[in-house]
Amino acid sequence: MRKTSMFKVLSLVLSAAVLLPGSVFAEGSGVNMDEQTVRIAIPFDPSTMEPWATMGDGRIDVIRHVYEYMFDYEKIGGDLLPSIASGYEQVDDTTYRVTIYDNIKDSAGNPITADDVKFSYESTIEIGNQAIGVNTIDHMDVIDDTTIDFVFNTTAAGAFANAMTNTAIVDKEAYEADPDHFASNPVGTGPYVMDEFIPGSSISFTKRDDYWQSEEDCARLSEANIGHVIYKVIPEASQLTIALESGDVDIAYYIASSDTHRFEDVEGFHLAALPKDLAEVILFNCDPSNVFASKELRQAVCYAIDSAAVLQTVYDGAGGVCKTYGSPLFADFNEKWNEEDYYDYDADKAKELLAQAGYPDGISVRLMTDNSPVHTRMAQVLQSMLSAAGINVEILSYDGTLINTYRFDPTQFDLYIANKSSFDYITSVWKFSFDQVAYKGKTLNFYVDEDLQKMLETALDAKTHTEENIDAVHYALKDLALGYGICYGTNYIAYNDKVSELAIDFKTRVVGGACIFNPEAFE
Amino acid sequence: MYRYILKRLLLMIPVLIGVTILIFTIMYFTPGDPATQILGSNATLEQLEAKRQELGLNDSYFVRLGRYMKDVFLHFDFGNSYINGRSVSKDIFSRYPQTFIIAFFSIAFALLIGIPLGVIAATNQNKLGDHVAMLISLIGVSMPNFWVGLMLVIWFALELKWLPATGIGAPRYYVLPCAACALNGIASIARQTRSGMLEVIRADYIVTARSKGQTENKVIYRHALCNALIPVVTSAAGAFGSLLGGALVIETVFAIPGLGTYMVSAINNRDYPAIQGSVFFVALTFSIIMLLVDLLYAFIDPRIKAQYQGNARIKV
Amino acid sequence: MKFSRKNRKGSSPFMLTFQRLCHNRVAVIGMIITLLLVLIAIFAEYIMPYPYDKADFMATFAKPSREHLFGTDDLGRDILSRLIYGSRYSLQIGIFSVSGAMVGGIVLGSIAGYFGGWVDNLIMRCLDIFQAIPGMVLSIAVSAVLGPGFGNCIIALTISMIPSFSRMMRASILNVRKMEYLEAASSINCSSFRIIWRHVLPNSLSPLIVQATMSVAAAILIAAGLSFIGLGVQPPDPEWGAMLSSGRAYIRDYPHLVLFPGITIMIAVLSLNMFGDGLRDALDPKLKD
Repeated sequence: MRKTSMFKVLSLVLSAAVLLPGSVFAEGSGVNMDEQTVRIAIPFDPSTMEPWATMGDGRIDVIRHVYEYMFDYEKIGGDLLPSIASGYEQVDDTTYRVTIYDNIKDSAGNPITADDVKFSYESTIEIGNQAIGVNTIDHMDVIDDTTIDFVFNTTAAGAFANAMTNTAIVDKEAYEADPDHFASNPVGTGPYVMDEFIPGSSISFTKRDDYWQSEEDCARLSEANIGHVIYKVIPEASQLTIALESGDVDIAYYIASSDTHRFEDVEGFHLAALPKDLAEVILFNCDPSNVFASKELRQAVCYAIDSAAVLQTVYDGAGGVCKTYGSPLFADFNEKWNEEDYYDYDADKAKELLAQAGYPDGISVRLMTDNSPVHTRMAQVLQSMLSAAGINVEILSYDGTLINTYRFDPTQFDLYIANKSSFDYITSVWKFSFDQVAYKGKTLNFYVDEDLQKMLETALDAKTHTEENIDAVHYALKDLALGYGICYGTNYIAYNDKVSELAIDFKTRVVGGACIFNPEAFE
Repeated sequence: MYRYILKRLLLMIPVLIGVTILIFTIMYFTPGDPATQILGSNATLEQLEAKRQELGLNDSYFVRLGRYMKDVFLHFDFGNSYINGRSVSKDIFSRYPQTFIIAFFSIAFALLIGIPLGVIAATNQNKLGDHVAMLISLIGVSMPNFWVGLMLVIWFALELKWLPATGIGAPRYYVLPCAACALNGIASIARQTRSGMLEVIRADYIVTARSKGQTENKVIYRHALCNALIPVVTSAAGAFGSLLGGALVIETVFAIPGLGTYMVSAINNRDYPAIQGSVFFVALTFSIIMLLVDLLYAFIDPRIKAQYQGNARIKV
Repeated sequence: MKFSRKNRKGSSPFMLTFQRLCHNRVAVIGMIITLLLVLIAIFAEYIMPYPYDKADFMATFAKPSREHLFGTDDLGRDILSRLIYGSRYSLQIGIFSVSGAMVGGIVLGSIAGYFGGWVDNLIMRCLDIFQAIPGMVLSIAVSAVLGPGFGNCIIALTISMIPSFSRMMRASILNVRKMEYLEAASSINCSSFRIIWRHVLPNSLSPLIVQATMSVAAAILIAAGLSFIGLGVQPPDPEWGAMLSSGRAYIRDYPHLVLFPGITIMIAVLSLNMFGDGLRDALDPKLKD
């Protein structure tokens, strides 16, 4: 084992020095970055390298090393940056013509053409695990080897961008030839190849010496600034911290806010704080049979929640308070909402509305939550806040699967805690909860309202995705209080001196190989 | 003897079939829809329905059970994980060694410490040594092993920084988990050894050995301990079973990618093939260990061996 | 249990056992602590210094002090109060699950042992299947079906303990069956149920009681383990294992969040074990004398 890896390193050094103009020799220091390794701690198991499997947390963290998408988002809802594709033009309302580079080769040397792109999308649609991004594609027409037309079945804002930024592109023949469908031996176009994957433990990548893209056109996230990248799976937040402190890893994500003081302004460490696009929300059960069919009662609960205090207890105050049903990071979030009242904490008003709703002596409700540490704490905080307003809360704590099953059953709960986000716009966040087409004529929480549906559809359409229309939905949702956005937290990423600049994708994940390193620290 | 082993091996088959049916049935009645876990929280009802159809979750109990039994017992195929599409048996084989290592070294550790502790207690019956040894073992048996694990992490990994807190790799990664896991085993083995020794010490042949003027040490280790070991072996085998279970909890403390963490996450995701496969493997190991213990029994105690051979002869 | 003062030497087996038990200092200590815990559980509401669920977001993670003897947790709740109230959960889980398993075990074991033949065979083979799965794993699987929670945790433990009780009961019945008094009973036309109830059960009771005491201890440990991996009692219910689980994230800065629940579990289990040990010695005197 050791011999072969030594050999690998040696051959890498040779090839890097002789063949590659892009090899990174740091000036002054004699460190060849192609020989170096960066170790990154992540809390979730990547579980599989299959390109189109369910997008679990651990997978999102690592797969950008091996696979590339048509475009990378600059940020959520932001510009599209070329990756596999070099550019696009919109032909009509629903048709986009995309051109891809003509020199793309995967790590096995197979050229990638428009046919492979079509195959990749069709497989993703057929497998159905990443339906959200691609179910808006009606069909694709291959024009020539480097040109493909995408025809959409909707004019929804963000449909094209979403489709372009989530589907890994692979070679058709290679994929079909592998009985394992790349689950353990992925072949992609990315700048790294996978060496070893120990499920539940670690995954390692080595820089390709035949990466197809030229240095000047290279996508930021496709840069390969170091020879080896190893991701270690460490599920427990406190141990993630220990791993970084003890030098086991160089970068660690999802540092608990209670642990940030170990890295902030500490010699040898750096801390990056990225606000989460994931908002903590509650959704009321608006089924006519439920107590929360009463708008006053819903509003009473909203007023009884002190969002700032929730943020303080759950995220140690790191993050922000929601001003709509979703976080403010999206491009179509209207800054003026920040200045307006969004059920700001008001205990008297809560009591008043409670009485108006017909419960002057208080009421008992069932709050459903998943058993993640954050939501468990949040449920307990909400319990004590609501009880102060005369609303007695029984907490029903289930695992994630049960929550996802029970949320479709109006008899199981009165309200529940969830976190909501989207890849592009705040309007999409609303859509995922309140679109009445997706959930058989009702919103996700069993509410029926044709006017709301019309407003939402107008705001979602790319042609009418205007400030005015978005505003209309926001105010309607605010008045109805079907759900209530509470707060959003912060992702903390800590790293040591070996890293000088993190490469972070739009989902706020670190792309290890694309980070910029500090060669002196490797000496 | 071989006939006996063969018979026992054959008897394992109905048990394993029973385990498979049992665990399948348990999972069948478990509420929670795997499709929701695969597609995430933004999926629409139609997409969920399509996924359930694809996974065959809409079929009746007997159709699904039949399909699963056929795959397992005719094709030795445990299916693919719902969540990541990987082969379940492959995943189990990559995780099983970690769990086995912990259970095995814990039991070895437990025997190494537990037996001498039990001997000390028995030979000093009702004296200070006995009380101390038994108190230690009582306390040992009373501590939750995952809590001991946490305490060991605080002390040895965080304070002293002698050993790594989590993960796998070099042997030193296994020291803390094995130590935490061994504790309960040490205690139960020490107690078993003590009572076994006490019973044997009163037996006639020990009295004979003593009266022959053999040294006390020789009496204890040669004659008494050998015979006292028989119940210890059963106890150790039982402990191995519970260690396999206990290791599952310990794994979550030390973030070890073993069967326990695999099973817990599979349960949380309703990944039926993964749960069924891992319980099957645990049951298989456990049954094999029990068989080995029975054989070891025969090896230690010639009387039992004679019995088996007698039985076999009659059957012929 | 009537006994007069004059009859001090004690001719009843209960008195004899009790007297032997009282000579064993360790067992007495165990018994006293166990009784104390039961009293604490019963009167929890009156003993605990603060309401167990009263959060105080201004006083989170307080170190042990005069106001909060064991400090406060991540939501500012008094840990001592939670432990006191939590004794209800842990003890109830232990006692109810063992009682359930005992009833189930006695019924199954009696049927198997008394009737023998294919009934026995059927029951034992089913138990084989259950016993091929380690108790912890079975509890994990069963609590997956039932979902986490206090009641379900009890059921999961009951199911996983029934096999060992059944086996024990069956073994004692097989032993007792050979005895002459049974022949006598059946010769005067006693019904099977009556024979089991009146004659067999009392004679096989002592090992069952010892097993039950020890099982309560074991059940408390397993329940704590289940809660720890998130499949047992769920927060905010202050079950000891659940408290350990939610305090775990803070072990570095605030070890008292896991230290005290752990010690409490240890004391409870230890006292039950000490009591059970003494009871075994008292019921089976040949080892001690």
